[in-house]
Amino acid sequence: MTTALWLALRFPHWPLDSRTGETADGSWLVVETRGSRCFVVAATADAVAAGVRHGMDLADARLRQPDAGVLSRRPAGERAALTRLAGWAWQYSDHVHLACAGEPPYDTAGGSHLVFEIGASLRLFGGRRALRRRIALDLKRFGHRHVAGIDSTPQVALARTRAPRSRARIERAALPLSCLALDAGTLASLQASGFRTLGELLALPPATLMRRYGAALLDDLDRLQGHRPHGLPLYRLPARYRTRHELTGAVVTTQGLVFVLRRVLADLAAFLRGADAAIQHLRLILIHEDDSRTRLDLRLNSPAHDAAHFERVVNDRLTRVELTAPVVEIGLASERLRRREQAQSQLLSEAARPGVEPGAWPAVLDRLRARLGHDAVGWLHAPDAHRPEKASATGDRPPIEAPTGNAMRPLWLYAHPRPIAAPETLTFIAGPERIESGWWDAQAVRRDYYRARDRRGRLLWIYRDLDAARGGPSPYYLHGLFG
Amino acid sequence: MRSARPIKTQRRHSLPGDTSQWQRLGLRRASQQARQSIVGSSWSALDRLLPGGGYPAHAVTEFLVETAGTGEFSLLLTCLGQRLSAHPDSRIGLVAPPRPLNAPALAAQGLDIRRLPLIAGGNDGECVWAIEQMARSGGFVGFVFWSDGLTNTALRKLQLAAENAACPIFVYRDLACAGQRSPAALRLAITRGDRGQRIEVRKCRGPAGARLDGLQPGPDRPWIFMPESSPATRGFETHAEACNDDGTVARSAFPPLAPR
Repeated sequence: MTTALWLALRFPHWPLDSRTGETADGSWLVVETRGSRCFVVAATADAVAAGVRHGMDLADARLRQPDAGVLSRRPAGERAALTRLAGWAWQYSDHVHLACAGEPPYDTAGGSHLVFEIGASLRLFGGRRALRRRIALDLKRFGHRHVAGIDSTPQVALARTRAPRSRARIERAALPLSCLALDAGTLASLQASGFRTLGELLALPPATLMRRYGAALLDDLDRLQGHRPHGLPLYRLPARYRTRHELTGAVVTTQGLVFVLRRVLADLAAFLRGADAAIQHLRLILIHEDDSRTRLDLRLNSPAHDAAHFERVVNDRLTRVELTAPVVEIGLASERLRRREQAQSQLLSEAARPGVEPGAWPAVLDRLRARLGHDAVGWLHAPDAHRPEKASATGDRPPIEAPTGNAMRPLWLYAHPRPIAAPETLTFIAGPERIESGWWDAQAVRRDYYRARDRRGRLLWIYRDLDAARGGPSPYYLHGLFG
Repeated sequence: MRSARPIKTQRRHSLPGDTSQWQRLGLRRASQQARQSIVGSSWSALDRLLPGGGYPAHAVTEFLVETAGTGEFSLLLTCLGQRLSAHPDSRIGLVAPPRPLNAPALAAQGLDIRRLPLIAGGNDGECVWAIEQMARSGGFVGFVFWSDGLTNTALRKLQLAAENAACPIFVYRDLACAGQRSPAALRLAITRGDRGQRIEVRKCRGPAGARLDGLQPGPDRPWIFMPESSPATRGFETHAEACNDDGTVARSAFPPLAPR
């Protein structure tokens, strides 16, 4: 059995990094208001460089970075973003724990974090270094600033992320007590007693600790050392992708939305990669400033997982959208995740011709439907029916079997037969062909079909309604056109 | 005069001496000019009429139809069916058909309806965009597009798409559009003549001006061409009105092109 190895990722600026939008330019601060106090919980890199720190009063931070935009904290959005990231981490491990800052029941002093087990997949990803590099690259692409820590238990791995940077590689015993997730009272008491590091605490006799601080501390220490199960709730892969993206600023133009959606869809693709899944039906919900919603349904032709493909389809779909109000939030909801089919490389591929990308038809079909509407692309079906109007239908995917037949039928069939006022002007060419069917439903027909030519040279398919009342209007109807 | 010589030999359909020298100057014989890659129309009488012996394979062919329903689409069906069966994984896009198509009729003509996607665009611009996208995707061996209000620019786009994807695009338009300029490589007018329908080449690459009379309704096919005076095929034609006195295809104004 491989030894367990846990990777902890702490996101010190999660309230800001979790938001989707243009945070690259300009400096931003996210503030939380607790009582009368308004303090900074996250800031952009240039604000940090200017001296803005966690927990700093907004007034103080404004003094250091006067032109920074200020956003208020949205815990729901942070939670949604962290859950998405847990889906991404699923590709490395099926033991993923996530916690948002300030959420019960686990103390998460110092920001939102994600902890997952990597010991089992080290070989697959080519060792610890390669895996770390890969993860760091992914997070950099998402724009998530993070601190990482690796250890054999999740609690210690997390403690390492909270350790000062200069002491990142220290021994476990030398970790400062302040890095541990102990409750505030216990920590203050221990520090007052002169304890500074984890090693000093572990050296104490357990019975004494239990008497002084209760069983809870002892349990915590056992978990730290791996003598007890870690007890963290684990993330479970959802059956559907359902999330919301908080945007940094309101998006007014479709062009701006394209930019934001690129990020949103990259997150979706990362999640799908992690879950090894694909989706065929995605609903995009644009939530406007006035809380009205625009829903965009994307029904793909086949399950997809590629960000570039989603992006193209969404962009084509957006050409049909007019933004009624600025968009402040984007929601995504998928159907059930499907298992991803591994692409088979074709032995005999379609002959490469200049100017074409072979095998791109399913992708193009998605784009056509996105831009023109789902029903704009269809296929003819030939149900096995005797009544002509029932023998031809359209469907949104090709029929399974290609029918064959040699009945003489017109190429064009009017949906509603038109009465012919003057049948005597027609030249009858062939007929009659009696079609009498449908007694079992309300649309029974008794007709004699003829082929006839009219004065303009058109070849018509007409019928005489045998049930027509005598002496009424002309019983002849035009049903189709041989074209 | 010495300079008169080449002209004289040209009339006898042979370039003098070193032909490559002429070709370097961009001079070619008309029949060579017409020798583009083609798609057989599946009507031998029509093939003989068309430059190169068929519809241009990498260009737009326009059908200018006087009255819809006079055989203009069934004229194309056999050709489309042959193209589909020659390329097993390919499709033919039917873009913006003006009326509901009847599936059994297409199937009876030998077309595999699984490979005939129907595209309904809201306007010409969207349809042209759709054709461009589909052409670029590969896997299409032709498009049929019904539109009366196509602009010159749209047709030019279609022409480019056809060239890039190396597949023919057939466009059905109203005869009223015949007066407009068009970048299509081949324009055929389908009108009603005295004896059945008449097909007239309005524009083509190569020798032009030919026409064909005698598209007629037959008893077991929607339309047939009046056969040329071969007795075997003549017996095939039974309908009294369709069988004309001499039963010949009208000669085009130009001598028929040499068979390829």
